[in-house]
Amino acid sequence: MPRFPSREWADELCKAINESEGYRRSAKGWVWPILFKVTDLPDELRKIYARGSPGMKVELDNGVCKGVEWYDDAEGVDSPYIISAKYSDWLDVINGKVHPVSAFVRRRLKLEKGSFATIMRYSMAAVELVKCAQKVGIE
Amino acid sequence: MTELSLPRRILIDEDAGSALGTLLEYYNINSILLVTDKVIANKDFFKEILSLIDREDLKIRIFSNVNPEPSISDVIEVYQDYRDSYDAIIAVGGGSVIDFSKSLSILIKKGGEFDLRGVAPFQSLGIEFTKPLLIAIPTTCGTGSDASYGIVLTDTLDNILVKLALGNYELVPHITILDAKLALELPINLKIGTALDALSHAVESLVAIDSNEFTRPYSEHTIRYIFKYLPRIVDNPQDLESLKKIMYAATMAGIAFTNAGLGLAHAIAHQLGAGLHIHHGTIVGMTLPYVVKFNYRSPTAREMYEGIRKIITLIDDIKLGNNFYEDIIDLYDRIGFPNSLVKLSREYHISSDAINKYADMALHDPEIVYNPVPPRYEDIRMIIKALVEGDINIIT
Ligand SMILES: [Fe+2]
Repeated sequence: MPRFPSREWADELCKAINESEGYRRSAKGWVWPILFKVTDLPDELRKIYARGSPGMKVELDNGVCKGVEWYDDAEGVDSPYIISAKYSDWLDVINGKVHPVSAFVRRRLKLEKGSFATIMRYSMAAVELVKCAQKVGIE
Repeated sequence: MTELSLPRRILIDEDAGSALGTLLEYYNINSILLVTDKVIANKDFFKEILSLIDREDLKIRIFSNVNPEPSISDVIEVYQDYRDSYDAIIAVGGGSVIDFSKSLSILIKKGGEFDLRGVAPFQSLGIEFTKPLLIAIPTTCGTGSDASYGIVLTDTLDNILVKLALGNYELVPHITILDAKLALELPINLKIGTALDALSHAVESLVAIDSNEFTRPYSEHTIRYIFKYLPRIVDNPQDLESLKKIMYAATMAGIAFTNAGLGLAHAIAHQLGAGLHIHHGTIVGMTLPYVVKFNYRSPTAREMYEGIRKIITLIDDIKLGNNFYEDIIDLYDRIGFPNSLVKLSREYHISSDAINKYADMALHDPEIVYNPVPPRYEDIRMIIKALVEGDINIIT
């Protein structure tokens, strides 16, 4: 299992998305890349990503992942949608301890950039996306 | 982390006009915008409220033309004519009037450029403690909008009429005044329709993903009250004591769903209601038992359903059947409410293409994610098909 977060993990996520019938159906119409940023890393990851907040930009287009770009430091990287959260909060969401929508409502996941109006229509796609992340898994 | 958002004050069992008059003086409110619809503006009680709050130094503006299903463009249009600084906005009416007032209050506070479509629970609007205060006086017995964070507005998306379910905790009205006398004249079909909306709020929030120890008592109490008092109102629509209980239930359910979420019945009903022009309470109530059966797949939801059935049987001494979805259908039989679209009207025998379209739209409704069992597209199609034909056995 690849380490979270890492370039390999991001590649695996992209594969899992492309194998997900549920995501393909619920994300019909979503055509914007999303940059997922991870902040507040634990010490052991800080040794690897010394600059701070790594991130992956996932090129999502109508239920398909067309590729990912990996950033050891995603600070200042632009994307139509940017979602950021602390490492521990990503863990809770991906491990299924916190529902992704509750995480948004309780401000544990932050929409740094993008349209709330659009995101509201794709909450089911968010759930499917988390299922894909769960398939990749976290140690 | 769990949060509970509530109105600052709920005045229960009050005479709305005099309670409002006292509040306005107490809060030193000198300018108000009263929002209502045409039907209510002509009621004696509305005129009485006006006369009871009237005082020399109170500036009153009235907008009395809220459409039954207000749209985003309605709100923007009225904002252009009524933008001003008010100390309070007072909504007197059903869900449409209160939702409309919440939307208008956002534009008055944030300016006309603000995109109402983007009102989401996970953003800070920065308007919670700013004037105008929002005061709700419900005149129906079901929407719970007087205690909820939600707004339902219609909008046109890709040339299709859709219902947008929006919400934000800063939109929970500051004050709500419950006076059941105001709902006495409501036609019986609307009494039933709005009460079934409250029942749907309660049943969905009971098992929704954010349901918790603080929300479940409100959900449970609402379900008990609807099972006990709605049949009494159907037998005697002027039964004020029962109407009070239904009105309390509606507000309690508003608190419950604001903090727990709703579910698949609302996600489906928003689409069918907009597409077929069916009253929200009617269509969501009708959808409810089918979704409950589907949710029996979740052991936690099943436990909650069985728990409330025990309370209704043992404490309220009401005889129930084999499971919760049959209990709901039995209640509908008792009050003469149809349990399928075809029974409501033959013209609602919609094609399988239409079922597919509605299923696809429901998948994009924000309420869907709160459902305890995440539904797939095929599941939603199955539920709509069962609802059209009134055949609960279709649901597996
Ligand atoms: Fe509702």
